[in-house]
Amino acid sequence: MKAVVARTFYWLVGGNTTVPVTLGLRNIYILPTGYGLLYLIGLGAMLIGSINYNNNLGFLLTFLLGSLGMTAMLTTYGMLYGLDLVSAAARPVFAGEPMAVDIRLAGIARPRFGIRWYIDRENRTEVDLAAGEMLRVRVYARTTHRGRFRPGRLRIAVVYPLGLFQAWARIDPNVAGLVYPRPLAGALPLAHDQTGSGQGPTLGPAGVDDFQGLSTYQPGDPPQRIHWQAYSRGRGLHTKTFADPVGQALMLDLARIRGDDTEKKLSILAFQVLRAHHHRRPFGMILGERTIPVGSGRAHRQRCLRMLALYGSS
Amino acid sequence: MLRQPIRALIVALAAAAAPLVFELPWWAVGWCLACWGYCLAGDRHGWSAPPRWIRMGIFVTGSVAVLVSAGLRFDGRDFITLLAVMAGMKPLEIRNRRDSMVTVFLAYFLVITSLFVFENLSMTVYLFLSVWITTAVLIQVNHPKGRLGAQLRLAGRLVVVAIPLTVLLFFLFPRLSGSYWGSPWTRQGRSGFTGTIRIGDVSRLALVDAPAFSVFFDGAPPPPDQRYWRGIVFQRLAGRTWYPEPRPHRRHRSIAGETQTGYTVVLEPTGQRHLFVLDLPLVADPVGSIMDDHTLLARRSVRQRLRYHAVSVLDYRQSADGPPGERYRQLPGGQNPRSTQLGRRWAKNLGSPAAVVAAGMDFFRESGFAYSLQPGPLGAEAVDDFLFSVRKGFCEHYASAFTVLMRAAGIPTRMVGGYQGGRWNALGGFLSVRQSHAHVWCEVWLNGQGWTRVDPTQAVAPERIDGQMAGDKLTGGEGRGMAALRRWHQTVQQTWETLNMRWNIWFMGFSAEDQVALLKRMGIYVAGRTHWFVFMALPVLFIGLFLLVGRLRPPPARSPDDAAVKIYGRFLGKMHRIGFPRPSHLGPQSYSDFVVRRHPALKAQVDAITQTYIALRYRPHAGPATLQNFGRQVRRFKPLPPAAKEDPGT
Repeated sequence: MKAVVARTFYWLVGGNTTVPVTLGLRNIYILPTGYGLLYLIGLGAMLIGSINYNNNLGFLLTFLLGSLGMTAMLTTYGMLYGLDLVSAAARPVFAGEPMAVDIRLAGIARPRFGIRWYIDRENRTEVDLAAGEMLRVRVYARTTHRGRFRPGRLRIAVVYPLGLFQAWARIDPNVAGLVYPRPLAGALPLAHDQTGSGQGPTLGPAGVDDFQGLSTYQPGDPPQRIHWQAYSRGRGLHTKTFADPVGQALMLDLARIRGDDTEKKLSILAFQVLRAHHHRRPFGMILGERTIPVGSGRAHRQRCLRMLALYGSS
Repeated sequence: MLRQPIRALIVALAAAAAPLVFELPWWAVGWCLACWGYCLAGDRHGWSAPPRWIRMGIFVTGSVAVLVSAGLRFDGRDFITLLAVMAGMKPLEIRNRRDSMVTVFLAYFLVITSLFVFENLSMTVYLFLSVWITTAVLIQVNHPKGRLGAQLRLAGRLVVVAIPLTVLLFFLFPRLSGSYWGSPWTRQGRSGFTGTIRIGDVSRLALVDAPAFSVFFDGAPPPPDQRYWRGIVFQRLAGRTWYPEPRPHRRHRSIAGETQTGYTVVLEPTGQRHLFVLDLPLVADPVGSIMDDHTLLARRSVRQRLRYHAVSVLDYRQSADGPPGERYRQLPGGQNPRSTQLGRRWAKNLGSPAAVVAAGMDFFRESGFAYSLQPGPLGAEAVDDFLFSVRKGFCEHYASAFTVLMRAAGIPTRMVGGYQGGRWNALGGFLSVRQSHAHVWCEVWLNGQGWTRVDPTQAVAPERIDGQMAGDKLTGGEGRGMAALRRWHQTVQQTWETLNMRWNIWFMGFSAEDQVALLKRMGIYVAGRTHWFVFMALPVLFIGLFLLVGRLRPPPARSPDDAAVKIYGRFLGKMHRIGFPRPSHLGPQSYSDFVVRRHPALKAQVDAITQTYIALRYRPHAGPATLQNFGRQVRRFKPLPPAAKEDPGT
């Protein structure tokens, strides 16, 4: 029932509610809050008192407070009016993490205080925007499963200054973000790339963990592999090396993971991607017909995760 | 949970309650101070809140204290006490935003309470101050991060912006005429006359400088010795207390005279029915009726400032009538034997009533009586004591003693209570009568003249009646500086009084009738309540209409920019039809190049259209002429597909 009323109302008012959007007459709504109603009841009591005792000062105060409420209503409205939501961008996250949606703002010619931004009520962001700033507001949306994710409606609400009225806008951020599968650690029958070296599997699957020796530090070596103990003894910088011969690239194949739960398998793959990336180990990935050749680096990692996120959807 | 701004909240409560300090019982003031002090200290040192049972205990204690102090009757004053006690306790239990909001609303409510108690200009000014502070605190509650200075400024701005609408509402909001219950909170009976006089009452009044009423005369004000403001007539003496006539009748006798004075009185609330008029009233507003003893009695007790007009005759003649009843000669038996004896002796020796009256006045004038506001206590036989031993007193002593003497001599006599004199305010052009002008005089019934005013105080202290007293007594022996200071003080006082008076008349006295008159002057005739109904229904209709029109109205008007885009769109359509759709990555200039490369025959026209379009969009001040020209160009543009398609495009 409430939803029907709300839908009818929003339909009736119309107006653009999709980013990019300028908040104005047709997409800002305002209603008294519970305190506003209490205030109104108080005013009613004062008015009745003033009428009863025919007390002009009472009338004056009642009308002053009433007008003050009106002024506050306009001020509250003005906190949103003219605010420009230029664009929205979403950063990819792993399922279960809140997704950060960045909204770029303009039109902050005058200060705007106490504006609450939220997509779901648990993750509110309250910001004060000083005049003349170009700002980015970060709002978080809850994610549950992987895939392309469109955060729901963004609410921009404000009760400033008196808390008697709440003005709000209901905006579609018009942005889609990627939700990667939630990484899931687990013992896995991982296969090495058979075609890469042609020598067959000689090393254990978790070769990155096998300490091999120390080599002299080269610029670019990851800091976590520097042998700090040796450095502290004054023997210079050395890098720990592991049994991870070059060319022995990891191939992550969905088909090779046992189990029926595709989502779970994707989660395990996501974990492996992260792990391989963390250890700077080149890896490739096979998801059904699609293959990502062996590679490394941030962009490669992202590409793999993206494929995992979108697996199964067009 | 954010910490609540306890300090700001207490400031708001204190500002709202401040005017009530002297209205509240002392323990309530102490209560508030103690609670607030504790909260402030706790807020400062980070004490944890008192546990629930202690707060309950405090609440019960406060409520019981109010009930005990109120007794069985629970009137407006006790309601104020209750509010104050609640305001004291409230900060103890502020935990979250809701508590803070409720506290601020309580502060607003306290403001209106003090308005009901004090209706004057200072309170009007204070109202705005108090609302300003409370509003700033309300902003603080809603935005705890903000700076106090900015919030005070914002609150000030909100209040100032609200004022025009307030004024509009004040004058145009439909009013009902007449008071329903009268304010139960107005200070009443604190000063001013009550229904009876105990000897010694009026001298206490004389020490109060509160205004009793103000008078605007239609013409010139009467001379000071004619300014007798008649209020109550006392007829019966019992012990030391004088009582008025129990059941007064309306006046039927007529009075006449040459010197008529019309005037308007603005009477402060007294809680009594007596109105004050110049001796003797001829006609008065229908707010009251003139009684048999020439007093003006309102229909209900005056609980609000009351304005009425009256005409009085100063050199009145009354229609000759038979002597009044025996009750004007009665004295409580067995009291004041010496005075009674003296009166009887005069009656026997002198004979004519006029001679007896003269003897009485001479007696006061020549026996070493002194006028004093602090006469000291009198014994059981008050009049005897006064006449024969103390001989120091105030108007009511003289009037009582004189009445007793005259009645003993067999002359019908009564006492009149009211005010005498008044302070002339030259700036405002009105006479300000204060409680300190309270006066009591006598009336004796003389054959052929009727009731005749005799003021025994005049015999003792003529300056009291001539209006010379204050000035003479105080200017004597003063240095020049003091005199200047006095003059300055007087000017300030008069200005303030005048402002107050104007404010009281124009603002406080604004009534339903004034509203109708105001609307009439604006050309709006308000016949009945139906009109107001229309005014109430209009906003609803307006909102409905607004919503409908909003739904139906065409898209917003286009700027020249939009028009140019639209015409350019027609051009693109024509190009599309001949096989050159615009790839979405090409801007107008690139698109023009793109087309010309593939279809050189169109170069001139496409170039011209593109240039005009770019000029319209990106060059400032491209006028409507350019737009028309652009439209014409596009209309005339009739492209044909290229003859030979050697290159089908990339």
